Amino acid sequence: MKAPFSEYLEKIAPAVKAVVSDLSKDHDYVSALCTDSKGLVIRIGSKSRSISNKTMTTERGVVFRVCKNSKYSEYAVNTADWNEPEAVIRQLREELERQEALLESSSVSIYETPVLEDEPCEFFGQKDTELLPEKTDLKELTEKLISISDKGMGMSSEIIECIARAQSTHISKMFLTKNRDLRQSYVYSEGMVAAVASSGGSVKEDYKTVSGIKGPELFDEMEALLEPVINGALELLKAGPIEPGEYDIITSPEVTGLIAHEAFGHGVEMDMFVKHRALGADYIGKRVASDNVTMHEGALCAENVTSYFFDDEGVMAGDVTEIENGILRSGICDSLAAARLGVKPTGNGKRENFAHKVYTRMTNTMFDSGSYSKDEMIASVKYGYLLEGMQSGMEDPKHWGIQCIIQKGREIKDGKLTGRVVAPVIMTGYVPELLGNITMCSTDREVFGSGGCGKGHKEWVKVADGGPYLKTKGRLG
Amino acid sequence: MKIEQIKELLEKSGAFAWRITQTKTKRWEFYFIRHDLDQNRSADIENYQITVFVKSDDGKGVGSASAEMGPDETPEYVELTIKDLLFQASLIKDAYYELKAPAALPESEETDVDLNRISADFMDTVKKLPETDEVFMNSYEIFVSDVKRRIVTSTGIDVTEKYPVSLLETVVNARNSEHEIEFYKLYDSGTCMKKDLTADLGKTFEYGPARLSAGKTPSLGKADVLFSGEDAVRIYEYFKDGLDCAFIHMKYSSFKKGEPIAEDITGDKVTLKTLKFLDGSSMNMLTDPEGTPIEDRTLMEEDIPKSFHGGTKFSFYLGEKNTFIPGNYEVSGGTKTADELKKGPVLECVFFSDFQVDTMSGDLFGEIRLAFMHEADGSVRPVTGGSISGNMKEFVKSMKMSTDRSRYDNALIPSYTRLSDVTVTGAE
Repeated sequence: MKAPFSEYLEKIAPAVKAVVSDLSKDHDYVSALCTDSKGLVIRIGSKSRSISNKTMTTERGVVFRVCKNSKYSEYAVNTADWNEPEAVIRQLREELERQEALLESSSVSIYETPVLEDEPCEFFGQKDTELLPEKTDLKELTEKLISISDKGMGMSSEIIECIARAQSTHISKMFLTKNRDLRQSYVYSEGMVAAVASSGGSVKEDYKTVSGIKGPELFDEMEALLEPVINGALELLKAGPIEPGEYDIITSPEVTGLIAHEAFGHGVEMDMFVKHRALGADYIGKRVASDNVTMHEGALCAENVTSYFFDDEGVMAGDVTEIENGILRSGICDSLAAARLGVKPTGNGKRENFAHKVYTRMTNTMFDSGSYSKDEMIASVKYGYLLEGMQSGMEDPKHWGIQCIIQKGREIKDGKLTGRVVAPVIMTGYVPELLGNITMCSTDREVFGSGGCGKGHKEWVKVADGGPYLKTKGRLG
Repeated sequence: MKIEQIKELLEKSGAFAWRITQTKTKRWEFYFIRHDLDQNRSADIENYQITVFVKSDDGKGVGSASAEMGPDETPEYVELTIKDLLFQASLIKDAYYELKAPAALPESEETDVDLNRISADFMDTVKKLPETDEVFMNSYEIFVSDVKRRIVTSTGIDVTEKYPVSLLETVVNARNSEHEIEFYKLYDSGTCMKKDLTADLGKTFEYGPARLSAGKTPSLGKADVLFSGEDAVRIYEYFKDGLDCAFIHMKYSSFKKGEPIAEDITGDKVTLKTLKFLDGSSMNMLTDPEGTPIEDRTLMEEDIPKSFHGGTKFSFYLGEKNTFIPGNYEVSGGTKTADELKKGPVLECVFFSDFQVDTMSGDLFGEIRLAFMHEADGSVRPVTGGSISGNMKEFVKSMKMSTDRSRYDNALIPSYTRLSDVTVTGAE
């Protein structure tokens, strides 16, 4: 079935349009993003269980963006009475006038920005889903998750906790201006199985996830995660430290995704170009990786948790070729950054929710596949590591530094896995070096969408990333 | 929909227990590129979180389910939601526990949060920083919130608090003829702490030239590493989380009351106390998120746990009474001066990409953006690149702390913390 569009948004649309119309009389640009997204999270552990309707992206509210004299301001609200749009207009004007008075008294100058385009467009998009989070058989789903957790607890006496978490969000968003009326609805879901193992005072955790632009039917895939997760956690208990140094490495698709995200995800967010915070701005058209590297970014370049029809500024989704055979071709861009740089937005303007500002944000960030098998790649390594599982990453777009915290490394000696595991592994380095040393990419590729991404250390949004196995060189500690 | 209507519906619902948390937030935001306004924003948000608890038929278990909703839901929708929550809570069962009864609270005056004045203070503070052509503000973002929170429970808790929450994000750049670098920092606080901000950002400005001239971090193998600032807070969270009833019950922490947290401790010993009030903190509240009063309490004295902290459920399981979820805390126990701790050889890390401590496993790691290599002969040189790693379970045995302390939002901790035998992977 098609994911139904919010009845609430249908109901408030005329009032929101009335506000947009009134504000348009004395503003150069006015838009409204209206959201109504419902969700479901069930978390089952052996000692603590919970059910909630709040996921990372559940929300209901409206944010108005206005531009006057080259200055952009926003007012976000969920306390409005939509039977009285004139009260919303009054509130918005009063709030922004109070802020204006402060800015004037503080002699603040404005970063002048061109008026955004408002090309006429009407759009209504719904993605397919088998089930909806708000209408799922919770009894059956809860029993399924309890079964996974119970089975995990019974697999080893060293497992002290096994958690099965299922979450699903039904997104409805409406973007209105004087000339545009865009509406979309879709459902995405995420499942996770995590295990905590303990022995001799050591406590280690491993986890695996599934995600997709699907309804709760996705959770049928969770059972298959259990055995590798339990084995992974037990393996971490026995893992030793790595001898720091530079190694030949093969990255699993999850680690490949982390590199994509940190290296040329954040590194080419073009709101950073406006602030001169990214080296990428000086490298468009130049080599930043080996010939083997092609990378795409966009809501259209994979089907996963952030594959929307249009972004939070009413720009239709795109598929940007960021790197083509090692040459940096383009960055990604929100609307205001695009207006300031004189380029077209790429459909990457995203908010944490309606109450937060738009920044240039990633959607699906993916390395293209290559022509080798994983076994051929391992066979080509004299001494090195196969890196699996991600914990976190951080980038330095100004200096192209990268930090990836990786769950574990599997030792490779003379082209074969030895069975020795090291953990945890921190990989650091200089992005062009890391990508410049990529010599092999596998034929397959995977997408991972269970994580969140911050801008700096805040403004969390859903993203997905991935790619094939990659062979390169990395500094590990 | 008003909270009294929700309360009435819950009272009639037959739930074993329930809790409503109403949060109203008015927020002002200002975004700057250099000192030009990128945009200004205002937000007016209200949310209700309703949690319903259901006792199992045999009386041995309790299930809970919660829902968040905005202020414009109809009574019919709320009634239906409560019905759904009762069903959902019946599907899951934790071991039996009870919500806490209300406790006496000190009288408090309602805080007046002046968004205009606090925002102006932030703008003024940043404008007055000693910028030069070489070191300057690249961009900054100001967030000031006036938060009003009311918690009502079936056991009779009904507490309302109003408080300010602020956040300043700064990006400081430094440049010479060859290259340009940046330092990213987030400052959480209640209101604008002008003096603290000026001092800390002033220090960051001083680090600029050092970062521009920094050499590559040498591969030191095992070395002493000195921490300060927000990164050191991550280290003390290992102790705080280890004292959490949830961590104890889940066996993620092996801390036991009356027993040292490690054997063969030769270094300084940590004393950790919760604080009701800490000047400048964004967490100066009378009660925790469950409506339980917060107290000044010693949780650990000289590496020996004295009492645990935590929420209702896990405290009940451990038989811990009078627990709460702490907001502010302080750490003391240091015996050294800053100069003594900087005595080489030691690598003083002042900026990481993202320093992390996994409080469950104890693993710590971070990529070095800027560090100072203090040699045994007293010479000091700036270095960059490479990473550090190790495990807190080993470090607690020999860690050293300064006697003087600094506040980072809700944590008052030793200004300097020195860990031994940290693995340093160089960049050379």
